[in-house]
This record gives sequence, structure tokens and C-alpha cells, in this order.
Amino acid sequence: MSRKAIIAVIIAAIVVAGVVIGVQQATKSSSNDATYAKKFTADYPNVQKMVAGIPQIGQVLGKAAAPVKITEYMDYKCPVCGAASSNLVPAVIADYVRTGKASISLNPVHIIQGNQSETAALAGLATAPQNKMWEFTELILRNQGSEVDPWLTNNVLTSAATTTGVNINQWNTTQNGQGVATQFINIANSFSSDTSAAGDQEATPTFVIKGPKGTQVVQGDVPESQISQAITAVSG
Amino acid sequence: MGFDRSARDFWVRVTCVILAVAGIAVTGYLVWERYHGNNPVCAIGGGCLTVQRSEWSTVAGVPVAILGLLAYIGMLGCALAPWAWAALASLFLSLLGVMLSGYLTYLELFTIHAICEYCVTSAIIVTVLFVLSIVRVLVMSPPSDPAAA
Repeated sequence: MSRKAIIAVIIAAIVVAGVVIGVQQATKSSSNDATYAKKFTADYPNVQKMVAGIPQIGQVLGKAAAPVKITEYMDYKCPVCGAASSNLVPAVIADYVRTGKASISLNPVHIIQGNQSETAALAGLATAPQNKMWEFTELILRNQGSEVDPWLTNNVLTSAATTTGVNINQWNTTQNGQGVATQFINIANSFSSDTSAAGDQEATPTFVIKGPKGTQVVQGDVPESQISQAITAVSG
Repeated sequence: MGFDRSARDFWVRVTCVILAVAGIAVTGYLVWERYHGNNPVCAIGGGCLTVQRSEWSTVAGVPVAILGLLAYIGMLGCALAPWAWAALASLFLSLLGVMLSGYLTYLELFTIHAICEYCVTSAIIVTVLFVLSIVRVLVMSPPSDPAAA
């Protein structure tokens, strides 16, 4: 067996490995983005149905005069937030927000390792001035990838924003501005103080339920009955 | 195609057959799980599903497990074939497998942050196959002629 043939085989294997890795790098992002774009388009009618007819101003869904205010702290990549978004939140919206008994506000924080949660939080807050934060957030939470995968790319965020119909130029300007950065820091501080006041750890999702009779904190994708009990406890 | 017990590469080829069949079993299981939508039984670490569902689990839409399965089938064919070109083809496939397995193991450790024990098993199998392929090529190469030097 000639030495030339052996060397040629080794070089060929190195070249093919390089091509395979290059093809994978080139196709993984586009396939990831395309997958989420399809999911968002398919799921958007369900999200619209959940919030249709309910006042939405900024981060808050529900009537401004609602006696109970629910503050939800969530992370866009937190799997429990994704589960709550499918199980708990729709029920709370249907039973308490739609009926005017409570309002609920979205407050994104950074809990999951990596920088994608923070980028998504700023992107989410940037949809609030256009009153689309709930649609944007629910689309992402309901269609989450794994918390350890870097699936929440800028293209995926743009895809979610586009699906909800926000003005993309305005959204880009807002998310790169100092306003949402300051807002994000303020939310992180409130999250810290709200959870420590309740003697809880900083975990997501955290629901801070405030009413005339005080404040209750509920954490996790809990049965709706736990939220109901908390609302009853703080209601006048 | 066959095995000549007196051939110098007999045991190398037999071992390659056994390892290629093991590789087919491992990658075949991953392909089967992928298309049946099940969670691979992952006794150590629990990262099999994470790795299987990550964006690095495909190349141009083709699951890496299928590429691995095809490579092991090719290596099995090479191990069964007694000819020199089969030894070279085996060297090519196993070296390619070692490099891609190394790349995927790097991704598991530093990017995906999850370990799939089947992928690690496959990486070990293909590394041993690569070493055996080198041995086979060396065994099949005629000894250099001192007079020619």
C-alpha cells in the first residue's frame, strides 16, 4: 500500500470533516430560526385568543382599576415559566383578568445561565410600548427550546416580534435604548426585594399578588387554586 | 470477501467487525429513538435528550445519528472486505469519525453542557476502529526493501 495513498486518504478525511462541520455551522442557525418562525405562526391564533378583548397597556394585561395586581417575574428561557405559560397563566387570565378581578404584568428577569435571557428580556420590554408584550412573551414561552440550548437567537426574537405585528424599526430602536435597560435593572431590583420580603428565593416564575389586604407570593407552575387562594386572601 | 485465518490482518478485521456492529447498535438505537419520539434511556448524566434535540444534532437536516449509522455500516463492509482499498476506506471512515466525534464531544462539554453516553460510547468505538485501521494499513503494507534505500 503506497504511502501516497495513505496520505491522500488522511487529507481527504480532514477535508470532508471540515466540510461537514462547515455545513453544520451554516445550516444550524437557519434551520433553528425557520423552525421557530413556523411555530410562532402556527401558535399565534391561540395567543391572540387568550388576550383578545382584554386591555393591554405596556406590560400590564387587564383593567387598570382591577383591585388585585399580579406581578409575574419570568425568564424567557426558564422551562417552568414555559410550563406555567401553557398551564397556569391562561387559566388565571380567563378567570381573574378577563373578569376584571385582577390585572397581571410581565416582568422579565435573568435567571437562566447565558446571555440570551437578558437579550430576550430587553426585546420583550421593547414590545411593551406597542402593547404587544403579552403576545410576544407567550409565543416564546409556549414554544421554548431547551434551557441549555442557544435557541433564543436574535432572529428568533425578531421572528416573534414580526409575528405579533410590532413595528420592527421602532422595536429595534426601543430595545437598543437606555429606557428598557433601566427598566430591566429596576425589575431585577423589585424581584429581589419582593422575593426576599416574602422569604422566598429568586426563582421563576414568581407571582406577587397585591390587593387591599396585603401581598402574597406564589412561585412555580402551581395549580390555579393556589393563585385563587392568594387572590382571595389579598382581596378586600 | 471473507476471512483467511492465516492472513496477517485476520484478528484486526475480526475486531473491526465486532466494533462496527457495536457502533451500528448504538447509532441504530439513537436513530430509532429519534423517529419514535422517545426519550433515550440515559443512565449516566441524563443529557441524551438534550443532545439529541440540540441544534447540533443534525447536519443540513440529516440527523448525526444517521450519518454515524451509515459510517459504521461502511466500516463493517470495509472490515469484511479483505482488499487493500478496503483498509484505506476503513482508515478514511474511522479518521473522519474520530474528528467528527471529537468535535461533537467538544460541543457537548462546552456548548450544549450535556453528555450523551451513546455519543461518548460511539466516540470510543470509532477511536479504537481508527487505531485498528492504522494497524491494518501497516500490516498490509509491504515491508520496505532495504536494497531500495
